[in-house]
Amino acid sequence: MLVAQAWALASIAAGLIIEARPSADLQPLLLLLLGALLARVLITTLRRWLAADASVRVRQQLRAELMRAMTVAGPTAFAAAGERVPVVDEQVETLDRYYTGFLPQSIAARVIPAVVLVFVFSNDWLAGALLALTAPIIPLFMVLAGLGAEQAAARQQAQLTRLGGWFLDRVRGSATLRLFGAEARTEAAVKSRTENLRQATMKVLRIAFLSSAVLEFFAAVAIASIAIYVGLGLFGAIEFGPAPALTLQSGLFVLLLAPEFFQPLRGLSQAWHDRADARAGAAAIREVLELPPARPTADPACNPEPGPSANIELRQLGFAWPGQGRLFDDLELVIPAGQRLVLTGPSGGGKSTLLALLAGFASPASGEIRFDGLRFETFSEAARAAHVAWLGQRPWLFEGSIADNIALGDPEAGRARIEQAAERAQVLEFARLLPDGLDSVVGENGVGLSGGQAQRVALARALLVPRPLLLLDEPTASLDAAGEAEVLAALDGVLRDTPATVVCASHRAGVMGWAERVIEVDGGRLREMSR
Amino acid sequence: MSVLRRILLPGRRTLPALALAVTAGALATLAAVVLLALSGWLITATALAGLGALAMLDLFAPGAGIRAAAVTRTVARYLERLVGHDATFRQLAELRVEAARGLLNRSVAELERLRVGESFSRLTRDIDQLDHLLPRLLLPALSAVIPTVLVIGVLVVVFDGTLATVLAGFLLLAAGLLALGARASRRPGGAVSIEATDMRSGLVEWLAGLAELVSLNRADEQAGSVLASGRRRLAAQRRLGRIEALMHGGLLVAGYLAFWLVLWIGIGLYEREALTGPWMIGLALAVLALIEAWLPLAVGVSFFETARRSAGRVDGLIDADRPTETPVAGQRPNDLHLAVRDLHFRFALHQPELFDGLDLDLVPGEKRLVRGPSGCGKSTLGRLLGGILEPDSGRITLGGVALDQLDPRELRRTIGWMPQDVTLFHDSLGENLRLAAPDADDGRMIDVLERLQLGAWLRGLPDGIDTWLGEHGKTVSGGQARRLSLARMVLADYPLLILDEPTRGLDLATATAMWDALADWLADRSIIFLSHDTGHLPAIDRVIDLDALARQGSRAR
Repeated sequence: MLVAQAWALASIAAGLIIEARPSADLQPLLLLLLGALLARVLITTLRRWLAADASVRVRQQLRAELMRAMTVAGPTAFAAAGERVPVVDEQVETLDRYYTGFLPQSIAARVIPAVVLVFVFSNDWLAGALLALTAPIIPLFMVLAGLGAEQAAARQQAQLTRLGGWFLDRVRGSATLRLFGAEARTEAAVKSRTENLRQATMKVLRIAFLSSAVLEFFAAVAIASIAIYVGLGLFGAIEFGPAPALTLQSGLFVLLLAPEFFQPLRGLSQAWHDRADARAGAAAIREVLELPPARPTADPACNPEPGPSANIELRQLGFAWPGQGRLFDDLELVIPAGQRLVLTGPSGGGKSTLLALLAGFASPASGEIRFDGLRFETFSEAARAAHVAWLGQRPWLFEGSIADNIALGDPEAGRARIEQAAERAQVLEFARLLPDGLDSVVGENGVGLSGGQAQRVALARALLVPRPLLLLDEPTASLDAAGEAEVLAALDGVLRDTPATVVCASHRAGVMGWAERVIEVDGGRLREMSR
Repeated sequence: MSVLRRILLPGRRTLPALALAVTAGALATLAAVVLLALSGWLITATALAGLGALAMLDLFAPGAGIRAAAVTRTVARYLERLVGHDATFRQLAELRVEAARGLLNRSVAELERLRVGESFSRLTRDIDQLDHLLPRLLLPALSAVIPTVLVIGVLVVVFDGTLATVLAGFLLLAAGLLALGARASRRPGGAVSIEATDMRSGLVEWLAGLAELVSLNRADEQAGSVLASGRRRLAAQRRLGRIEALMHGGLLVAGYLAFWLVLWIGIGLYEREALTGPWMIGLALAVLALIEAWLPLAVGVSFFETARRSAGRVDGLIDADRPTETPVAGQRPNDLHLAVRDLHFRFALHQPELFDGLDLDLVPGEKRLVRGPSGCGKSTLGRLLGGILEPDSGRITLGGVALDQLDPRELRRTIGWMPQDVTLFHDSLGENLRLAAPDADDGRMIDVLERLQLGAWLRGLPDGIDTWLGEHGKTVSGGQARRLSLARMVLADYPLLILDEPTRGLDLATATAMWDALADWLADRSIIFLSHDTGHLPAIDRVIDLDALARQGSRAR
């Protein structure tokens, strides 16, 4: 279309000015010009429209895959949640400009200059040669600039990611910062960190701008020399080559095509830093997508029906957290079905790790875990969740009503079962005093509830569906003796209906008294405590 | 002044940079116009001269003009982009510091209830969103409008009014189109803004709860609601993308029409010999170059609504109207006598009073235990005594001065409040401790950790005091975290402390050894322990049963 447009315009000019034809003769050419222009608009608009659509599809799919990968990798695989947020958010967004900007531009940059060159050559080979000569400089330069840009962009993206994690952490701890009077210190840190990010960003941009400026300069020089060459040729000042054969029509045609030769290349250079951004983003995305799964995918997955309680065997179990020394070596432990086992021992001795292994948040490096003789690693995700209930040290509550938070344990549970679970975990005791009872809304992370109350809500949630293995990580640590007794009584009540096996990490004498068996975990070794 | 206004109407400091960027932008567009017009003119003129139709032709002046325009365009465009972006990122860096200051200007009680995901979004994403305003909207608008108006002026003065009318028509049409586009993008732009915030908050919450979600096998389902926000966001983005494509197309149609009309009218003028051949071609090409400058505005306009919303949210964070927390008379306490008289407090009007006329005294050096079952108000009392919450009525005084009359810095230097929930930062162990005592050296921190029975643990860490604690202090167990919190209290050297369940999660042997090692530190400090048992604590002078003391009134009711 742009060729037709240039040709029509050149012909009009030549017809009118050189051949002095009446304008009425040129009507068809003028209409052709208008048609070519409008067709061009149509194509451009369509291209933008379709590119936007493609980009939307890609981003949606990637987000879903990222969240899936993080689920499969499990909660213990995480460096920092704050660093994962920008991966799913901003870094997926950088792909948009890749799909709507860089990709179409790179196709255009390959096709259009070639087509233009063919037409210019056929009209005037010297002008064509002039264009062809400048052309290779451009990609060459772009590759050079691109190398620097990519490194700078990767650094900038890494800084952005780190800053994200840092900010999230400080926002979360803002009350503590305020408490220690660290406002001024934090502000200074924000200042220096944003300043570093600004410098990194400007570095990326400077490279991008400079490369497109150089490109534009080459393009402008090329166009200017073609204009002057055509001018001189028409004037009759150049005697050699095809110059004497130039007419206003062919000269104007060549001149009009010259900018079109460079336009897609210029567009490409402007989109080049989108490519650098997208590649850096893609690297971060790939890192998450390639996180090792917490449990190897079993093939074929085994889907045993959960019984009321499970007999647990740990055989020659070995485990180490990444980057740390071996925690467990050849660990042997049998927990008979229905037993109430309490793990005690110093902080960091391995209690929580043992619970994580039993929960399937991590898998043994060697040896195996068996549920009723079946290898736990071969369980499907659904089977794993149906067998194990887990309650962590820090209960997590989302913003919503207490009932909603409990219902998360089983979406099919009716009101009656939610109330029953709330009753057992002593949630009703304090919920009754709240204006809306179980429908009272709690804030993010249980704001509005005391630590103990939040823990009881989480307990009710974990107990909503009976499961054959109940894992409790310091469940009563924030409760007083009376509260602890109540929760233990509630546990007794639930266990009377469904006698699950219980493994509980705790220091509390009350909990140990409630247990049937106590094992001390210290330095990765187990020691049965006499009772 | 609102954030949006501040960015679009920059103050004295950013004005020179902005003026430079605008001048450079307009100059770049004008140079592009001159380049194409002059080239067209030159070729046509030389063709005529070659035929002998033009007697004399000076080739050198136009040739030099073309070269000058080519160089000017390049340099000016480069300058515009560099200066414009630099000014923007400087503004945003300042804005971020100010937003952080605004956040930390809130009271501790407010910060404890902060919606983390939302504030995090405001501090990061929303501020980032503003980077389009200057380089993609304001600067391109000025570098399109200024040259267009100038060219119209030249057409009126030097050439023909009709041609000027065509271009003026284009200007109005383009402006109208962009205004229409801005209107159409308001709804999807707003939706993008809302859904992006929702998605991000949802994501933060999802990641925080991942452990429990995975254990309940609900992680995928909860991810679904985050992804649903993401999908709605993308749908709105797609609508915006389409509006942008249509705006772009509309601008091209208007521009090409103007070009075609200029050519058509030019032909008429040429036939009536009102216009020379070279200028007829040159002017048509000038219009073509001018259109280019308008096209980037399609993107800028479609972004505007999203940026405007973000600016509004950043406004909310900075909240310039909020008074800084400095009382009228920042008084200093006379001594360390903490006294509570006739304290009344309840969380909300329709709830029973938690404290109904509570009296309490803590004389310097005294150790007291406030005891009571879970939920009886121990932690709330701790917050009241720490000056975090304010009583409904009654007085809490330190050295005769009411807590809210104290200089807040003085208050925080004097009373150390250790809440039940420990906050550890994604930072080194040393930095986490130094939060409380910026001047503490490694030796002192190690000594305190030893006393807190964390020596063995510390020696087992890969990098000792410089070991990085994971986010939320994930590599630290609950009991260790609690002792790190206590270590901060010890390091900060408060004369008066309120310790909320300091030994929770500790076994008796460790607790006893810990308090023994802290004996000299404990000696002359005033401390209120809030706990449900006495066993794990050091020697206590007096025990207060909060249940019996404070709730008599509410029980009677």
